[in-house]
Amino acid sequence: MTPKQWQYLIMGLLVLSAVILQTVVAARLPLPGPPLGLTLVVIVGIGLAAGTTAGAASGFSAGLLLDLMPPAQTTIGVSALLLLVVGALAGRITDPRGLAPAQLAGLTAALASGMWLLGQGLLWLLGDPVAPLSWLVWFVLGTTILGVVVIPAVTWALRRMEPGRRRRRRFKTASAAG
Amino acid sequence: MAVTTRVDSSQRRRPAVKPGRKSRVPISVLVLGLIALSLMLLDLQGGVTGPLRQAGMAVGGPIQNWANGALGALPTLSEQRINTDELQQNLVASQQREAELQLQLDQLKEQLDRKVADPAVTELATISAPVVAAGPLMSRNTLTVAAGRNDGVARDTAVLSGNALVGRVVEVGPTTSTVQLITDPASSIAVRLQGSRELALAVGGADQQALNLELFDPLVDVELGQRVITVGSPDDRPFPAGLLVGRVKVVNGAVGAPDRNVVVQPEAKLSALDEVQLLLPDGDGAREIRQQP
Repeated sequence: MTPKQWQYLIMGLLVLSAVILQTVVAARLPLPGPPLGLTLVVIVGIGLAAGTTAGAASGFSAGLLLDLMPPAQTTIGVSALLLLVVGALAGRITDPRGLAPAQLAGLTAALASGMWLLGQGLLWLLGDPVAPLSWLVWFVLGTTILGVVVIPAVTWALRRMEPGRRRRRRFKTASAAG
Repeated sequence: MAVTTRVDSSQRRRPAVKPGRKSRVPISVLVLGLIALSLMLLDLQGGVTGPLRQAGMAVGGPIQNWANGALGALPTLSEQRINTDELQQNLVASQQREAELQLQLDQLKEQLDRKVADPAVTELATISAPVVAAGPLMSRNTLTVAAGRNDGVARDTAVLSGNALVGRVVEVGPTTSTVQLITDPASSIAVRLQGSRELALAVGGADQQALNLELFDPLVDVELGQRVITVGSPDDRPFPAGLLVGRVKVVNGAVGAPDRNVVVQPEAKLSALDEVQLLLPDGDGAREIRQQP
């Protein structure tokens, strides 16, 4: 297998485990507010490490799986669209390697609140039940704390499996300079 | 068209994009977004996406069941696990109590037999099933439970935790099913107040731990702590009569006031369910679940 294929495999595994853990663990923790955004932070990590297209594609597949897997009763495609946007936006960050924990927290909080508001807007348009505004606070708070821990782990795992990373980093610096 | 192709190919060569320099969205993202939007429209139309959901149930359910078993040791999920010593002590104590209660029970049963024409209808058979998943993304008003068509579960089967109502089955797969909680904003149950026998609707809201009570007669007196039980549906689907829903927790506003607000606290702890019972006619362990109105 080529390095690129290895990376795709890791991404697939990350997406699958994130989706399963989201339903089995994150949504069942006895915390106030909505389920923790575990899938969201994993998708942000993939986007940061692998770019816009990879982030968008993994966000789309994770969301679609969440829409189709059992407890979901919302309209199919809502989570897919939301996580697609999150992955694509995270993939546009220019220098993910240099993100300090505070910056990472800020980025996660921004993406989490954006996804939440967009999602509630979509649900409202589709006539599905909408959550109270206080849940936004709980969601962003919990997800940001989770993100500071999970995102570095995800980016680390993806970069480790990228044997051409040295070459790529030099290439990236060159392209940024030019 | 030529412009978008150029953007796409340069995208592949340089994955890290500088937002200021290139603000165009890659074509792959646009395509996926359009697919998501068309899926939403298809699902709104209904019908076409039913088999997709069924496939998701058939594949996802067993995976969640397995994952829940594999992760069973996680401390977060074992909130209700009791250590064995404590259990042993509880057992001895309960055995003593059981003997006392048996006596009282026999007396009460005699009284009940006289009250109810058919004593068999107060007993309902259930099967137990573990809760394996919830959520998933923006609400937690639905659960996956590890019992499905193969166990005799059908749509609109009532789901209980102990004696308290949890919700009803809205989707059935081969080995798992999806349960809609009574607190789901889409759920609305015909109930009556125990004692006064007044009718009302218990409607779910955004709050996971509360139901809003919409009284049919706004001039009815409601007491704090008063029990709320189901009225019952024809053929007992989804709910037979007399299932305990919860107790009145908050009464705001004067009797008859238009802004009067009655809140019911569900009896089941809906945010921390490990195991639920499904009302099935061929289940075992028929026991008294129903409440007297």
